[in-house]
Amino acid sequence: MFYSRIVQNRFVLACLFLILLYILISFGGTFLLPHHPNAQSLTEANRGPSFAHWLGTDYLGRDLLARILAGVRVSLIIAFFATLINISVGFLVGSAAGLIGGVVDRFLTGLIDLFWCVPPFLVVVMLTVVLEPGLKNIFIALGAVFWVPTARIIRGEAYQLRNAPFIRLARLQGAGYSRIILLHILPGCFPVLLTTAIFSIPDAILAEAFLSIVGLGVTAPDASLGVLISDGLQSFRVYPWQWFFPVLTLTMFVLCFNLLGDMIHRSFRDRTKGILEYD
Amino acid sequence: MLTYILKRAGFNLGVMVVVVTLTFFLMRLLPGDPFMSQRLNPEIKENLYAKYGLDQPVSKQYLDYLAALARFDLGESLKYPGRTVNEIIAESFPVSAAVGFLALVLALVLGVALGVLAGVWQSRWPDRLILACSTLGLSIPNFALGAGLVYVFALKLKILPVAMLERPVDLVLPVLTLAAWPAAVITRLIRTEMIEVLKKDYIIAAMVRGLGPASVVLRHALPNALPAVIHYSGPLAATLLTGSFIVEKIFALPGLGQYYITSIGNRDYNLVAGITIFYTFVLLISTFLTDLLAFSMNPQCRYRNES
Amino acid sequence: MTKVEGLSISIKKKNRTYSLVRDVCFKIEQGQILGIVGESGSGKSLITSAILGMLNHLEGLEGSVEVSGRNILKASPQELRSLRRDLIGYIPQNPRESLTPTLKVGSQLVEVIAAKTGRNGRECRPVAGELLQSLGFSAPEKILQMYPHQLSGGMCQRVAIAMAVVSRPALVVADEPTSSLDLLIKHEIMKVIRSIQAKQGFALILVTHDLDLAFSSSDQIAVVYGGRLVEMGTAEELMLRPGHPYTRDLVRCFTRSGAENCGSYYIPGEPLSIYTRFTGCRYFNRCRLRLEICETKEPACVRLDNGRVACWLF
Repeated sequence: MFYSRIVQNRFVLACLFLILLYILISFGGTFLLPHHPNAQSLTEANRGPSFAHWLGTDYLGRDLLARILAGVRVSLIIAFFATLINISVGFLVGSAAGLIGGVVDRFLTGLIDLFWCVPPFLVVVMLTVVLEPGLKNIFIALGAVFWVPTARIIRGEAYQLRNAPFIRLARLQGAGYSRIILLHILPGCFPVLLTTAIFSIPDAILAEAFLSIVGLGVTAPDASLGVLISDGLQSFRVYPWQWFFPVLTLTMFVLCFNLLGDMIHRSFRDRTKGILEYD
Repeated sequence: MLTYILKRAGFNLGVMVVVVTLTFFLMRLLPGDPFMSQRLNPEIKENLYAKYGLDQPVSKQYLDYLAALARFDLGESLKYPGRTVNEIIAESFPVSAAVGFLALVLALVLGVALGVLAGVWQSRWPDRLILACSTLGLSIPNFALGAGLVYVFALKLKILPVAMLERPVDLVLPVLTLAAWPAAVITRLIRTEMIEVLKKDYIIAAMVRGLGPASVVLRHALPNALPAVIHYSGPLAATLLTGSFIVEKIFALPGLGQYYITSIGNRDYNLVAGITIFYTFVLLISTFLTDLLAFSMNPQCRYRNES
Repeated sequence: MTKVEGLSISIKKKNRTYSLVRDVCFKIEQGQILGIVGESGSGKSLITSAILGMLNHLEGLEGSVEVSGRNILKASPQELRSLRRDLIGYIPQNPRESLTPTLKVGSQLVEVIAAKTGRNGRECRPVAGELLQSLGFSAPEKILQMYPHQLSGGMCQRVAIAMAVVSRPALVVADEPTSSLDLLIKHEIMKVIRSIQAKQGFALILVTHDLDLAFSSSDQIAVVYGGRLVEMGTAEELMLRPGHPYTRDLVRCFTRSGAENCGSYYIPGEPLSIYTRFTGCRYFNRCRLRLEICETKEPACVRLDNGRVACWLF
């Protein structure tokens, strides 16, 4: 029911469309483009947008458009897996803590609080440095930090749900915890999880961009949006387009996801409105 | 109250110990060592190791470190010989803190003001405009914003200066860059809380009793919407005060953030550990203070039920 | 005098109009108590909200609510504020929830007194103390320094009553003032309200689903069902000679329950949802005395000796 409302909103459709477009092009489009993202050509270095290179080239003569698309792909992969780790670990820890209670709860909550106090930035940086640099380890590091707020939220929900009649009934009937978690709590937490996931993707992309700028991101010659922006920063006073286009892409991407998340969040909330309330 | 403070202090201490330990051992797990960038003769390297106690077994190093920590001695920097970590932090923290503090104040003032306006005029044009701006603020990463501002204001329009920390006006751009994202978050937070509070019985009752809208919003509604923001500003203050690497890099500010990142790259064990500990300390203190603030603002916590 | 004429409230959803309240009319003289009785969802809360001016922004609002000659529904926001200050008092359903938790009781009371009487804060402090004393508080100074959560429900309600009557209003609207209070406190509060009414002489609208309270306190009673005023008359009349089938059923439940706690309705069935399109009398599906015409046409209001009834039986 509320899905139809989401889809009816044109704004949201536009965002969804854009995101899908990005995904499609970045994953499939590289075959269509004439230039390979890593193909260097020093004679063509630092050219502005032209017919041959739609968005220009970078300092090694690599086509910027191709690089950006490849970068989007990498950023998306990282964001997707980081989000996956985020919601799965966060949900499991949170629901276990909230539902089971007692010693388990105290322990897990203590763990959550501990992670909450340690500066997340620190953990990510440490992990990325300790684990070998590489795609996989970046999203592991990000996931290792992102799950904490999620777990907190989910624990809150689970804690409220644990006294609900239908949960108690299930327990009385002898259902095991894992069953209850999967069948009862998960559907109840679905709105929260969905919103968290949708907002976590842009957060992950931004975090990864930050890591790249700091120098801990993906290794060359692969590029993520962060790497491109970082490179662009070096020379943006002279060749602004090298910075501008990756930044534009990143911002639009993040913006789309944020707007999408917003709409979804509002439509979930709207389900419980009264007759006479404002929109 | 006292028990709460004690329990909190104990917990914080525990966290600090964990953080110290983690940092200590993680750093030593990293490939490379502090002197890898310099081509050194093996003998000299041995001497250096001995000087900094790096030739001892790790567990002894750890215990020595803890002992020094108890004296608030964070050791010497391995990369900047002759300078202690304490000195470096004492030099660079004020820079970060100045920018961070201004950004914090700006973000709070702007965020609360806009959030209240958006909440009061919900669904009408001020709300939509403010929401749009805040979504933009959330989506533009500070490295983009910073560089963009520099490009527009400093290079093209030549209004505001780029770097160098000489005059107060130099701080305008970095503070703006730093404050944008938190301001957006705070705006949304307050807006959500205000919308919830404005539906409550006591607000409706206040309106029906003939109280003016300004008084109702500011005296009755706002104090009830603030707690969420206060809790958020604890970690926020810590993050802002200890400096953002990107902002410092773009605006060439000699702040704590820059030192932090470079010292990781340099494998400067002591400096990394020192700054980490300092940062955790700031985080714990600011969270603690803001929690106390929220606690004291809530009459239900201050006065036990006497009916 | 308070006069409500033709009050109708409707909302539009997806291009269809749903009627929530239809053509409500009544009059109350000063010093009288009108009890508005009905089950949840009958529209009585909406009627109260409309009278208090809370629905003025709604498109589907029609009719007029006149208090001392001024129409509430047509007032601009500034006029509305001054009307609320001078002419209307409000006693809420949930007294503790109706006081701002972060402000001291004294501070809130002084603010309301200052707003309603136009004097400044400092002058109003002693007034607040006196007011509380007249409401039965033995140590007003202490109460003024407390926060709402420190007071009991009955105390909060008395503070709310103080806020309502300080400006000697023409009309006081009490929206289920005792429903969240204990049994003993209920009687006390009603006593307090009635004694102040005797002194000040305002008209009182008492909205409640508690029949005991309504019948024992009110001069006139208006029975609301499905958004319509289905019957109105003196409490005695309605008790002894109820006209409308719904009233009859209500009185039957009430008198039958008698010694037990009143308030549980044994009328079978459920009220029609507002979304149901039905042109006849809205009590049709539960009425034991229904006629054929009741299904197709909604009955008009018929004047009796001492009241009104909207039913085809008359």
